Amino acid sequence: MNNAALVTVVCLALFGAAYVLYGRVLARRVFRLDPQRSTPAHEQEDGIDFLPTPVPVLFGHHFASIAGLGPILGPAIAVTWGWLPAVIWVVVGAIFIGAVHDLGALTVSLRFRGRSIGDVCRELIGPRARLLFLLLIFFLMSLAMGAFVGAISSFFVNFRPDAVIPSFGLMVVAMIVGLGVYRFGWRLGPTTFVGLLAFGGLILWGVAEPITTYSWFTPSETTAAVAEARQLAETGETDSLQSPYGAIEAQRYFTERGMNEHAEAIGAAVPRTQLAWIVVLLAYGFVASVLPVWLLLQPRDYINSFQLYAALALMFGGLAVAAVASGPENQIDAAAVRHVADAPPMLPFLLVTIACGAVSGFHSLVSSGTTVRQLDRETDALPIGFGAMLTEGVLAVLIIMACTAGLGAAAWAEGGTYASWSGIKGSLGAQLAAVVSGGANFLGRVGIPPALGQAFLAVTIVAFAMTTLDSATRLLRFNVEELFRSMQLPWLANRYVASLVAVAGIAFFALVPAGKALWTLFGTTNQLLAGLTLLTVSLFLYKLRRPFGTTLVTLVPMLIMLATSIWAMIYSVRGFLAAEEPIWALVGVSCIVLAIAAWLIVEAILAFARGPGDVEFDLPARSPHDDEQRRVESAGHLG
Amino acid sequence: MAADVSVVLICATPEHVVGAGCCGSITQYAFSSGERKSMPGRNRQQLDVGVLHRAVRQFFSTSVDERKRVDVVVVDPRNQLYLAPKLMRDVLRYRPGWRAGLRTLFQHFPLPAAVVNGTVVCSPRRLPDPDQLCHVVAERLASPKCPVSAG
Repeated sequence: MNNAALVTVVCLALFGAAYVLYGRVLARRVFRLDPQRSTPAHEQEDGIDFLPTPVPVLFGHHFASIAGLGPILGPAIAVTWGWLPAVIWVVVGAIFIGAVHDLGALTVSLRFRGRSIGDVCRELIGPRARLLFLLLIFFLMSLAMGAFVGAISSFFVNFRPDAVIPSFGLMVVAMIVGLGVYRFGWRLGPTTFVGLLAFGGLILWGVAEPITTYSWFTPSETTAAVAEARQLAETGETDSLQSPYGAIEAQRYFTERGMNEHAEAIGAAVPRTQLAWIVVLLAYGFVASVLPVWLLLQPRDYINSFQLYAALALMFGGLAVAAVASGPENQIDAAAVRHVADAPPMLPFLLVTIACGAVSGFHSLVSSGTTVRQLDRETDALPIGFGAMLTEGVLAVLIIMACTAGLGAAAWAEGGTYASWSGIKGSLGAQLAAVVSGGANFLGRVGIPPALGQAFLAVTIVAFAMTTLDSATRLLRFNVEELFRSMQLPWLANRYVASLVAVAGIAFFALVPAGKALWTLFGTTNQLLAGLTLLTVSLFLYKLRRPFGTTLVTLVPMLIMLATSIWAMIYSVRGFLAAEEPIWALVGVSCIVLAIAAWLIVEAILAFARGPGDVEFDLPARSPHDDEQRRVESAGHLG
Repeated sequence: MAADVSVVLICATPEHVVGAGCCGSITQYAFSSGERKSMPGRNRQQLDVGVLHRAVRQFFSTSVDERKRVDVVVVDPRNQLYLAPKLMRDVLRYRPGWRAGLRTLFQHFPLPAAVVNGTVVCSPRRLPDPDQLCHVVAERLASPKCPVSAG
């Protein structure tokens, strides 16, 4: 059973069967989706937010919005416990918890005229619930962005200096493309073609000229030694410094040659270089969150969409070719189940490490925020909510295979990336590098040279992180503005103050030297949000007086998510306190998040105690867009 | 069943952010209290496309022969997995002529764009107004090429 393609096919079959069997049961018996019942997209149709959209269109929008760095980084860490537990959790979690969660959030929001899950929470549980939701989301996003910023800084410095030029060059190319297409009326197809060509050129440039930023912080002798080693490497000398000359590789090179002073100098420069990158990334997040979306976010995202689909298609293609040719990339090198001495216990940490990919509380925001307003028929919630989550599960399985099969046996041997939980230096960046190397080996099977494949995947991952960083900083900004308004502090609810608070929140976590603990804390908070969303969905079914048996499909996942996340949180706090130098910042945040969750649970229990049937679904409709409506009606004289 | 007239409106939507979902798609509705606020950065183009969408939907859902079907869809250009095949299908089905067809297939149009039966109907940097678009759709419905009219 070490055949990567076979495992992937089995997972695909399970997902398919779950969609046909379990998904339909949920749609018909539990949520009782009715194709004849009008949806918010029809009731409040404005062609902008509320517009009936065909399933293939909406699926593309929804899937692209939920598939990002989360389902890449989580599985890449979780395979430390072996490939089998990771695959089982992705499959079981996605089918019985994640997809139920997404479909439930979408359905509840449908019945509340397309309102957000936070608003629904207020209606079902009480006004304080919404404020608690907002606070929880603030911590959740700050944690996630802190982890991403830390991972990317480590990635650039320690592993992929070749990604620096294309990552930042892509930003410039995307801005030019965006300005051209969105502002100057350039033709979409030709501009995209030129933009993608430029992107390819940037990757080639990045491969040819890796930017070893750590050497900016080393003494001049070490900088010269690194430059000399690079020259030797370019002449093709064997056993030389390996491209792309990351700090880890440079330290290895100098240590093996007894040039310990250079290795130590590089080791000392790494934290300073990472700090510099963190500052640059935070500054980027601040600037991007206050700039108009059409200037930076939207155009870069346009290029990103091609990267997402190209990376997925190439990796799948590579795995398929490897399977047909019986290549080594199809052989899973990792043990099915591993015991790693310094790793936290598999239970509950596996369930919080793979959050996105199995179940993610954040999906409730996407489902209830945007997607629900475009559902043409209620029954479309099944392919969109349930189907897209299963598709994300497929992405997570592919990443697991890239790390356990594509990466090669060396990564699992002593001294390799996955030899221990703490791993080689660089922490989260090491996991990103593992995905890049493993994925590039798949790409090699479809004829893409390793250096180019690695650079392409590295830039794709960085691009996801950057897009997520600026959209999440913007989202955090909205969150902070809303929090200030809720606290009756409207003078603080402006974009600059709110952006500063948002960036400060991210910086707080990015600068905490917590490594993977930060990711597990993010995962825990994310799962807690998923549990609370499932609690809201369960309460919704209870208020509708659905038979207890049918509500079990949301109650059981809710209990699992709340129990595992609280368990993991308490375990983490004990770990933070037991450390030689306790990480008080994370202890404090964990306790606050736990307190918020406990409060929300108490509020929900009180709402259950009020009994079924006291909720009003027929909320007042939004006021129509009068000025736009006149323009629409003016077309009515035609004919 | 394929529509008699297919209208594709292509316009970017800020809320759809690729690769951001697990950590927050850019939707303010998670935080706003239900009323629609103006999305920061939402540009006029999106509102104009919304007006066109509603115009076609409202007018052709009530005032034409029920046997004729008008499909209108708003697509984000980032959703190329749907958009490119959809444009190709429309060109192959409605056969707008090689020049118009190539223009559509290679997406040789600025954003936002309106494509009716495989033909781009917007001029550079300017969408048709609702009147114009509805006229174009009505013409296509009345055309002998339209399956129902021909029948």
